[in-house]
Amino acid sequence: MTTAEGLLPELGSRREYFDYLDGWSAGTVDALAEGQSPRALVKTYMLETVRDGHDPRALADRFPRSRVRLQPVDDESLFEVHDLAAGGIVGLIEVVNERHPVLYTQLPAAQSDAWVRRTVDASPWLDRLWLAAPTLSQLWEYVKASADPGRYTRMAFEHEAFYDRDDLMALPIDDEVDAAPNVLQAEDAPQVERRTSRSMLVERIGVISESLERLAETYRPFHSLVQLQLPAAGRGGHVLYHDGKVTNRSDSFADHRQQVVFVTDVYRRLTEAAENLLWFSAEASSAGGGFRLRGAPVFMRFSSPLSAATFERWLSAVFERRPNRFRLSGYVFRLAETKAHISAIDHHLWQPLLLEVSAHHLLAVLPAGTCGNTIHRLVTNVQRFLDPAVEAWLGEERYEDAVATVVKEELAG
Amino acid sequence: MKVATDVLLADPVFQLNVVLWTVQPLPPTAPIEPVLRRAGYELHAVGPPLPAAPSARPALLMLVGSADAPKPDVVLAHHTDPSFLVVECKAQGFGSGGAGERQVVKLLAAAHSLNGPLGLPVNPDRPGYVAYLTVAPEHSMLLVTLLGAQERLREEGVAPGGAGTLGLHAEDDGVWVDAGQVDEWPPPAAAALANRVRIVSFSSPGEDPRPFYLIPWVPDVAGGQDPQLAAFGKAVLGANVLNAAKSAVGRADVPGPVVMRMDRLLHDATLGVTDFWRDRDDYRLLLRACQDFVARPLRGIESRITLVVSSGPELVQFTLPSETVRDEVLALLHGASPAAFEPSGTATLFDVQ
Repeated sequence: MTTAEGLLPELGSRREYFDYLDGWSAGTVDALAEGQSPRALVKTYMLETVRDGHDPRALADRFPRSRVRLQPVDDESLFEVHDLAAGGIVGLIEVVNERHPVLYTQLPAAQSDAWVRRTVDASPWLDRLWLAAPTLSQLWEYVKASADPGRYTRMAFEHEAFYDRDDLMALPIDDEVDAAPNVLQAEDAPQVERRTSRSMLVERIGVISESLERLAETYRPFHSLVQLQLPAAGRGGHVLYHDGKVTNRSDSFADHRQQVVFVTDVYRRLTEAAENLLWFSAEASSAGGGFRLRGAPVFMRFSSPLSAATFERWLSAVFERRPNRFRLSGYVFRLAETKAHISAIDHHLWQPLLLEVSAHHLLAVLPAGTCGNTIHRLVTNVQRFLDPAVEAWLGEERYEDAVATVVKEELAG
Repeated sequence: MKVATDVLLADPVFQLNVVLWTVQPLPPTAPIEPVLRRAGYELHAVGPPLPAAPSARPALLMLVGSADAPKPDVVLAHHTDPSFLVVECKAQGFGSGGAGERQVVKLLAAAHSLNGPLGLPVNPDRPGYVAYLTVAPEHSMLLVTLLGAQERLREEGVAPGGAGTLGLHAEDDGVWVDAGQVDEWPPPAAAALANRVRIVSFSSPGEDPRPFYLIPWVPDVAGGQDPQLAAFGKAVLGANVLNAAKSAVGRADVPGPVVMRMDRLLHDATLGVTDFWRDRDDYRLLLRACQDFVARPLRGIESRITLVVSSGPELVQFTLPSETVRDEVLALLHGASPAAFEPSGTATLFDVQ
């Protein structure tokens, strides 16, 4: 029914496809349980498009049409993803909500990661979901509240002091660009010496719950949560990655899909609440002329000041080198050795972003219309590459509290 | 770009942006203290015209030779207190008899009740309290001018609004604002400003005090600014214009046309503030400058992209035949110098005296 490369067979309906993925999930997890995994796990990649009403393009037109074709299955909520180069169906796209299509695939991880990266990079209308550490932390609170403390989970933490390197500007561009998503799985990656922390805990929920706070107090990289397993309703669970990938390590695709829908709904609420709060624009005063400015900045306070050298390397690498890990460029106005105002543009979504950066903080102003995903990506990247314990605020509200609020709202229905 | 702190503190664009940040939602760890927001104020309007009541206009004509509506920099409203704060920024203090005092007289006359000028219901009464912001210690002398103007209005039978001044000065740890005597200020402002307040915190002595500029360039004050600061504001606007153009190119379908409307580009580059600029003729000059600025870097490949610059100032359009050409256009725009932006015209946003 399928090819060795993990392409999907051509089936006739949503039900047939979901039954197929369900059977595949059970078989794969059984094999894993026996210590053999000849088959790739089902993986989901949660994607971001644009807010309702902000672009009239059909979903199919947001993918690079020269290579990718979406073919509806039953209706306009599920599509086969035909890749011309791969010569078949690489996965299914489901529109779980209008803003967030998700890709289900059983390609081997290295292939599916590369496919998603290539596809997203080629379109300014697509991005991944960026689950910053405060978001994963609040989902961890959900895990504690919804699963037996005796169940196992896994959490991974990662921080790479990339901009502490003296030889940064001499690095080949590929090293700069390669943010190495899911680097904890990249066993065969070449080892480069720099201050890097990668830790994974596989433990009972109750045990982690008792010790995590103390760990983070004594070792800052434990603030930088990049993977979290949501326990499944049955066996196993669903591993969420910071870049919007979810691996199904349960025996049920239906349960996997439910968890994916839950996370995308939380994310959508968070992003749109953030956009409503943050978007800066001038608007007419109620009467009498004049205007008012509405909006709020994103503010990030570093847990300790960046050294002048790190600040300089970061600024140079991000704004003088393209491409770079932050996927930004811009015009830098230096006000002091460690303070600058920057008219920036997000190279992925091609949306402007206004920044003040110093050794102590980063302040971002989002012009109205700039996708809130840009902020999630910025917070994620600052945490991974600059300061694992950075504290982020959306206006006057802590980022983490904003996530907690939307998780509560989602749970309340 | 290192600028002397005393020059910055007297700069009207710096002052305007500091006032705007005092009512923005910021966390407690931010380097700016949103002192007026924490006191319950929010931004009501930037640059609103405040025409005095018709009954006061004959007296204004006699006192200052004009009853034209003054346009203060900022009006702040409070969540519960009925009084508005009408904030005007000045590089320095001034005495009686000049253009500065004429503006004071007109603002005070209008501020007695802002229901009419701001188009609010007749009841409840919404008075204004006029606060002039300048550098310390000049704010003390300026207060004498304001009190004198109040007296002149009363003598002509016109009830004036309340008046006070705020003085900015820098110390090793930041920029402080001092209101002096606050007995007559509206209660929430009096409580917030009773003691001098550090509104910009430095992490080291002598740090550049500039907050991020929400409004980097104000056409009608640029001519009176320190040249280095005027150039800074202009270049920031130029950078924002280039990024708005890059955004249009980056999101265009390829192959296909790119049509840039200059009014839209300026809107995007200024958070929409240019939609509220007056003097349409001068605004057209600005659009033309913007058009020239965006088209200039593309002249070298104009035949390849079929560049069309409309004879009116509205459009720059071209065609992107391939992704390679798109990258080339983006690189050309990115390589342009923001400092080369030469906006012309003096579209007005505020009173300049």
